[in-house]
Amino acid sequence: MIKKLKGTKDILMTFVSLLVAVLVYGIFLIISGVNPLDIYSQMITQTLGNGYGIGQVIVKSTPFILVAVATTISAKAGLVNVGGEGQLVLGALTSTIAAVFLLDGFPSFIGIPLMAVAGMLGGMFWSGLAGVMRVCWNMNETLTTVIMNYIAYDIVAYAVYGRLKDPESFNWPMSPKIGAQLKLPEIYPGVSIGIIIAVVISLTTWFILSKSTGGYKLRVIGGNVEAARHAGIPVAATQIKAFLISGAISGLAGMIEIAGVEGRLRTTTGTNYGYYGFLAAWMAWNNPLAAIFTALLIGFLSVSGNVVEISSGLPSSCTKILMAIILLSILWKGKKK
Amino acid sequence: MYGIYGETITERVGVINLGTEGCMIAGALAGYAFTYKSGLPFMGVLMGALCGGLLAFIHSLLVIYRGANQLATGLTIMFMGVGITAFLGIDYVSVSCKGLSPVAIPLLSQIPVLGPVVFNQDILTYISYILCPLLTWFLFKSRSGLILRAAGEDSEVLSVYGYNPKLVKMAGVILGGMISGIGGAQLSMAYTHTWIENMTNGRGVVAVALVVLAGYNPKYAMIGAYVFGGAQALQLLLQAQGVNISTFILQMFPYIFTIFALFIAAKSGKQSAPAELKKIIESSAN
Amino acid sequence: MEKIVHPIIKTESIGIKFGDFEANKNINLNVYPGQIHAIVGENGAGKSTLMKMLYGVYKPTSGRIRIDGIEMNMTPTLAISSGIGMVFQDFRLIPAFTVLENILMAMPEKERKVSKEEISNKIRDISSRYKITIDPEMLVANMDLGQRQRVEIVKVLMMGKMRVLIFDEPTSVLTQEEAKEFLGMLRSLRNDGYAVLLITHKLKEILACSDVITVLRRGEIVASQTKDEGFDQEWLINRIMGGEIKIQNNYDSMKKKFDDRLSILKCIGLQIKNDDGLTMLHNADLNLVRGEITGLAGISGKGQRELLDVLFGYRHASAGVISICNEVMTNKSVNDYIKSGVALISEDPKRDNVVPGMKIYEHMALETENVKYKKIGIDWDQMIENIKASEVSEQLKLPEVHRVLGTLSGGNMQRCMIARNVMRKPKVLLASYPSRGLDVGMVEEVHKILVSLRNDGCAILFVSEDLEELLAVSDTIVVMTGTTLSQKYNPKKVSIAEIGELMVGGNG
Repeated sequence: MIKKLKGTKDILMTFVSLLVAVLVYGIFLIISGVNPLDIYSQMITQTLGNGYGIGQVIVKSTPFILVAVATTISAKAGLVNVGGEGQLVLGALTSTIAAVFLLDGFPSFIGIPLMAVAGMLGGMFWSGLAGVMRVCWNMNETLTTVIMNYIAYDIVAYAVYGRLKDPESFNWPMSPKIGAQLKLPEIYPGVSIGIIIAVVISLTTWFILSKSTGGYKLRVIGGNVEAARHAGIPVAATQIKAFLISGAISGLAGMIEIAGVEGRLRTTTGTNYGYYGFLAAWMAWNNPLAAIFTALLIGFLSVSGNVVEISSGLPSSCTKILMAIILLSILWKGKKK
Repeated sequence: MYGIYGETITERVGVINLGTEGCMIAGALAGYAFTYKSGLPFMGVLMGALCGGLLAFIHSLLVIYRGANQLATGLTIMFMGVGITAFLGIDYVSVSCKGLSPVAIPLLSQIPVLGPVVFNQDILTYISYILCPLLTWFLFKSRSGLILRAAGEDSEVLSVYGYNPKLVKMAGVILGGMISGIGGAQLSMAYTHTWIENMTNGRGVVAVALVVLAGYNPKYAMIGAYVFGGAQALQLLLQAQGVNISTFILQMFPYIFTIFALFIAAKSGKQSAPAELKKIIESSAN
Repeated sequence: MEKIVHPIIKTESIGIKFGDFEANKNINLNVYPGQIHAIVGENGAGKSTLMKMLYGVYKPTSGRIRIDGIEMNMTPTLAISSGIGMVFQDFRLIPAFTVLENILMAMPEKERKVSKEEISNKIRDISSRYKITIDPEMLVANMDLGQRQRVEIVKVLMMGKMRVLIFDEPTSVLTQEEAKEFLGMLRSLRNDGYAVLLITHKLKEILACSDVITVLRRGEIVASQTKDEGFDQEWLINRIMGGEIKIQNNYDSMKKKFDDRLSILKCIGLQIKNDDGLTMLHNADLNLVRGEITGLAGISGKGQRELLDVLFGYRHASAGVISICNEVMTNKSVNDYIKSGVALISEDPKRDNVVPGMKIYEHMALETENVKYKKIGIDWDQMIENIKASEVSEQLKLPEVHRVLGTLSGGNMQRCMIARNVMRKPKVLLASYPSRGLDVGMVEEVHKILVSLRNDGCAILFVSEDLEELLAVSDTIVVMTGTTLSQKYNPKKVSIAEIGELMVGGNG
């Protein structure tokens, strides 16, 4: 009973935060000389008013959900992994490489899983590096993961300007298209099964974190490292494992971007997705189930940004400001435990 | 450069501001836009500092008075800085303006080799030369610097002596943000002479890392900044030499260098971290 | 010519309550200039609390404090301006700063314009007057505890016109030689007219230098005597320990006899360092025997925690051998120790055991032995049932298992952790202050639980600062004396006073 009441209170708090943010942003819009009511109604009707818009929101949200889940896993182990971005991008890269150079001739039922594995390995490699740096050399993982994001961009750029460049692309920095049979099946025009994978992973993660022994140990480490040490839980090894799994999930998000959305790797693939995912996890207080909804919200905001740009001439980045204000107001409310 | 100095002050009061990136980009746009509008570079620098300070103010408010997670708040600030500037800056993309042009110092700039490099720079660069000793003096010799550092070490001790550690910390964070803002302004006004979205490109984050490496000391921060700058210059140089390495590999250099720097910092410089900052870094779980 | 000397500080029946706990009650204390006034008493007798009230850190919940006859509502700032300075046990210094910087920071507002040279000179003046050798430019971090204390003293002396100096356990961090010098300094401070309030455990020191001794027991003054009225060691020990020593309870009748004296945990020649690299124990031998409660007596903070950490594998000894049932355990991990049946009741469950946000029953599975699994996870229903069915949880009156442990009181956390460790049926139980902070009835339950665990064959190391309790519960007593462990004593044949002497002996 008490627990339920507290849950409702949390949700209520989040709503209040959202409302405050919407109001503040409204004022901001008025200052910029546009009618906030117009903008808000456009955002809603033109994004959610038709199948295409909804589909776009779902497509956009897919990587956010995955990265949010990945972030959550690290967070439960007491680590701040802001490297979802780099891990995603690298996963996109490795899965593209696999698709272009190795799997071109493979049928879907082998090719797609192998491509997914490649993406996950890519993400794991990147997060594993950060994990080792954290655990073995005591380097702050927040800083290393952020910096490694920038390195990941450069690696991708190197690849798509270099050996991975599509010879038919007229010198555009992009990889060749992956084989048609390697594209993820669609459940709705433009929407691949990626979203289903994401939701399943987030459900599984929630289940494992809250029900399994491993999840339990992870939560102990995240809650109080001393308690974990006194209980004989191997802290370092578990933290590295958490980092590896979270990297794998981000890497998978990268693979889904390639195989489900873009079909080829560009320098811009996945830009900012990692940060959005991190923020989604943050807004959901690291609850993988709630992260589905916060990711959808962020997905909605970023799609509606494009809509607003087309219809009212405001740049699409203006919704980023709304997002930042929402986050600030949630941070302001603070987390009550 | 300025970003590092700014963050040095911030971290000295026991706060880590990943939003330094945001402060810099805000400074970059504000500096550029106001110079463009008013034609007065001085105005640009001032507004750059103010905008950097404003973002830092939001950060300090959340972190110090609301107890919000420093890293998450910092990221949000960074995000907000990039978002807002992308939005407001749309009108200034590819508008060029004079900004700050190099001022050659007579005589000194005629020193062979070194002269043109060191003494034919814009005014902000000159200021940055003296900023290091100035900050060193401020932090380590002046009474205000002492109080500022005390806030980063042990705010309880400070409050025993009748100061308000929260206010002191806030002042430190804002000052840091302002200096970072100037850093951004220098980037747009003196270095590139244009405004590009997301032009700081991680420099703020790198600054945060370099501060750690520099042992929170402006002197070493300066060295760090020049080495980082050197890594960038090296990249341009190698390119110009036609060395057959991809630019992107070269672009990674500064970041790899930073990671390496963090590694060294983690190995050796642990004691020098302000005590309250250490607590935050060590318990960086949400 | 006789002059009537007025007390600087006079307290009129002050007392303080923390919740239901009365830390001090009805204290009447007079502090005169030119006197060394020792405040003695056992741990938890309320000495530090009393001093903190005088300094304004705590507000008394009853009674009045008068300074020079004027009633005052004390705050630290007010204390300083009325000339009362306190040298805290944990120094209020910033290690990353130099001596000079630390002192500069502490200077009162109006003197902040004074130049550094003047302050340096003043530091040198004070240093030479009281034979305190400190270098103003030295970094505090590079100083040992004795030097830091000197800095703290100089700092307090420079904070204003001081008349009363309060020292909280000043000699506990000092070597014998340093302590001697320190006492000399106290005397010259007294001769300069300062009033010195001294809290200490060390009876010899008290007898050597005090003009007045006030003994606290359970928060009240039980005796106060001047040098002229006479005091000696015996008088002091009797007053501190309570005069009439009553063994609260005797558990002998409950104890089962074991004849084989099977050694379970054995260590030889242990050398243990604390986090600062200071040697806390060296050449210490300990033998925990099946079905025996070994009581460990000693002044707290003298290495008990480090010793227990080592016996639990959490910290590694810098020398020596540990074996459990003849298997060498030196340098093995906590996990290995848990597997060989060692359990630790930590002195600070909040720091070492409690995971914020987790419920009570979730804490019970932390060492995963004795946990039933169901499919992929822990069978929580079974766990909850076990807890509810167990005798200990009833004896200890555990709160509802679904409550979040981190939000409950320290006593609750402690009881839960005792229950958890007892339910594991360990072979070796390391119990660090298990009864601390619990009420009388609960303390007895804890004792009974320890005894019944002993009867089941567990080897128990029982750490407590309450000697009566130790003597009542233990089968054998080991005392931490200086930096080593004493031989075993029979609790029947040793008096509290003897143990007390062993405890304070060894280091002056």
